[in-house]
Amino acid sequence: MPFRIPIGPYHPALEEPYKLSIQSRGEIVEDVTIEVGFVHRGIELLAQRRNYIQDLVLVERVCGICSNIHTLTFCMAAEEIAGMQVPDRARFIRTIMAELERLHSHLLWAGIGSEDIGFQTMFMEIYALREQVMDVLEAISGNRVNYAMNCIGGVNRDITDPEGVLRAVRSIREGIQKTVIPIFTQNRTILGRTRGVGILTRDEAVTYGVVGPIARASGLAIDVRQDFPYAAYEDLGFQIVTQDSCDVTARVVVRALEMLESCRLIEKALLELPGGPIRPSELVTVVPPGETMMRVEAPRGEVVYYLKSDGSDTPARVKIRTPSDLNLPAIRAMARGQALGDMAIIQASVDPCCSCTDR
Amino acid sequence: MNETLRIQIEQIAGAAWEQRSEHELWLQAPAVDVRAAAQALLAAEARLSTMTALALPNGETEVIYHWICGKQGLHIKTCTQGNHLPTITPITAAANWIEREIMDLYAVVFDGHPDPKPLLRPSKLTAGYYREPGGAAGKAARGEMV
Amino acid sequence: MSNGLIQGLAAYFLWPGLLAGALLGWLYLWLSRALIARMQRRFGPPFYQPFFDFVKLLGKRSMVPAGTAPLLYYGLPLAAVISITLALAVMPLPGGLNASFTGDLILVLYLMEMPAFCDILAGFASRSIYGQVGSSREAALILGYSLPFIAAVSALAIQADSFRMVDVLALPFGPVHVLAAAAFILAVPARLKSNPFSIPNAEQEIVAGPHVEYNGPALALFELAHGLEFVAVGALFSVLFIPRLPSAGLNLVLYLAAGLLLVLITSVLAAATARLQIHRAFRFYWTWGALAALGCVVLAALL
Repeated sequence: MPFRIPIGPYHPALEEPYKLSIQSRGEIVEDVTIEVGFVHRGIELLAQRRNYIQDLVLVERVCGICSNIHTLTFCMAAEEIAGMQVPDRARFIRTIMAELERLHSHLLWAGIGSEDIGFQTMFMEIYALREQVMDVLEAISGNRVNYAMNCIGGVNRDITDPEGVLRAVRSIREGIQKTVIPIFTQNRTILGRTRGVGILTRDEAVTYGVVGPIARASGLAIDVRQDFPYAAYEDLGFQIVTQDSCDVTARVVVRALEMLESCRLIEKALLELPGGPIRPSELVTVVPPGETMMRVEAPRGEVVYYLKSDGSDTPARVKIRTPSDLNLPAIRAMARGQALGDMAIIQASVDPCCSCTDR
Repeated sequence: MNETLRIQIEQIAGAAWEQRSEHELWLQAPAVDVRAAAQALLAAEARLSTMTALALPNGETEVIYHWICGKQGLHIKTCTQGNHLPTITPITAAANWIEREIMDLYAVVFDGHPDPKPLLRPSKLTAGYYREPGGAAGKAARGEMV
Repeated sequence: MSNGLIQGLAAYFLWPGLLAGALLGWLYLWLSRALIARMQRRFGPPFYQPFFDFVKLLGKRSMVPAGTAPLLYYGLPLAAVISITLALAVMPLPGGLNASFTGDLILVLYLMEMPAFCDILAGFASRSIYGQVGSSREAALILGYSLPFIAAVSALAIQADSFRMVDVLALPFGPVHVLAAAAFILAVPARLKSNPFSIPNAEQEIVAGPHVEYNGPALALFELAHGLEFVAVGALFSVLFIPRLPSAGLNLVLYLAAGLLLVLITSVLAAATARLQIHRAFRFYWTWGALAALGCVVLAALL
């Protein structure tokens, strides 16, 4: 018998409000419709009413998980229009922050993924590990969520204790290597829930234009850090991670290996951290006229900012495109023909970020 | 991006590419056939990154199609005619939500869109509530000091 | 009032029935939560938490969903509690009723299925789509775990050549007991809907499954029935598989130990696994469960 079953906007499997209406026949999913817009705040409109300094605070609040990426992209766009050079030390610190944020975001996702397949012990383990990353972020920036690290032309805070951060990152890497990866790749109940589930073929990935770990798990070698290197990725030698099995397992593995790559990048950046200033001596308040498009690889994929300036202290237009914008519709392709019981993990495998999508 | 695609798009658009930086090409083409351009770009394995809408003072809307082809960003700038543009959703599914969003925020109608429901817009608001000037013009309109 | 009636009422309401069963059930539920919490680096709740949960729910005003008959809404959890308590009361436990009659084993098996049937009906009666999906999953799961469960009991009945619990209890301890106990334990996690067989009430998919529309006293009764089910499964295990000792005190200790053993097994399993999908859970029981069932029944028939 066919029936419709709603997941969301309020549901134990979701961290943020969006709605999946599942059309299902027995336990088999026939089709899914996705609705967003429950936390639409009009940030793009607000951004063109405020000046650049205020906008940095505003865009940091687009997303609660990848907050640093948004200020980073905004600053990079403004710097590109103004033709500014960022000091080397600031570039390295930006890379370290971006990768720490990726670590905490991927660990958060892994925890929620475990919770969605009913593996609470794993959730607790992963969150204990994530707490160490949060401690490092707090030690560097003074904040746990909105780090306020970036300013136009550089960063606001220096890393004063690179050895301490290095020690912490090494212990996090050990935790990932010794608990997270073995359990996700060997526990039979986890593999039973992820292998061959939620397939998004390479062709479908191209059609939906997915980005980030979803694209890389479907065999597309797309990564802004490789294609359009920014910050210090070229100096550090970024290595892309891809998988070909196109299922939830592939998305798990891509994220797990990416965490190791993040640890490697952070360690290398800390060891090679150049000296010098971290920002220009004068605060940048006005950006010369011009327009640009800036891409940065957020934990969930490519973040795109379009910035247009008319030479005043207020941007003429800020367009924000977050990765979940493109990834969320792909749930439809993943869900068809799958078991109803797998919908929670399938939607979670996309790592949907709804406040990003709604802005 | 290969040379044939470059020339093909220039022919469709009737305008020339402008190299703004190492990786970014921009194209100003008010009368481009967006569907033909999309088909040519998709055939060359490009993907639609997003579309940006900007309200123009004359009531029309400037729409920029941001494509990515390998390590090349391609930005095709076009303009609506009476705030209408043909849809490219049947050609690439990635455009579906992007076009719906622009319909909500800028009241641009994408003719032939298969699913023109509001995406972000709350039912209380009428479409086009992002159409206000930004920057210095916006400050002047709000009576703030420029 | 006759002596027998008083004894019967005492067995039903005090020991081993409602009062002792509820206290023991809350103890088991707490122990399971505390053990899992320790394995997950948490502290877990204090020992009186399940009791407080029960009292709190009793004090809540309840809302019957539109379109559901109140009689059905309150009757189902009540029926679950009454029948599982009756199952406990007729079991030949130390200090219990010890009223034995032919076929009492079949009666106990039937009464122990009642909470699950009430759950399924409650899910469908609540008219919630989550409840209906949860109920259909639970129905499928019963078909799965009943196979090793019933076979384990039948194997002993075959060997004793009787469906009287006293006769089964008198059996000399042998290899059939070991194999049947294994089949029994195989069925326990699904009976108690704990991980990896928690798919009927998988909150990440279908919120709370059959209980999604339940609240207040009616939910309290379902929770009580769940605790009593825990005790009844432990009691049946000790009746069937634990050899009797001459001392009543030692038997009592063994009865408690059997329950604690099951709590330990289910908690460790729940902490170490993810939730299996319904078809995988079903396949598990129809391969490993079926093998164990076949094994113990054949062994019982041969010996």
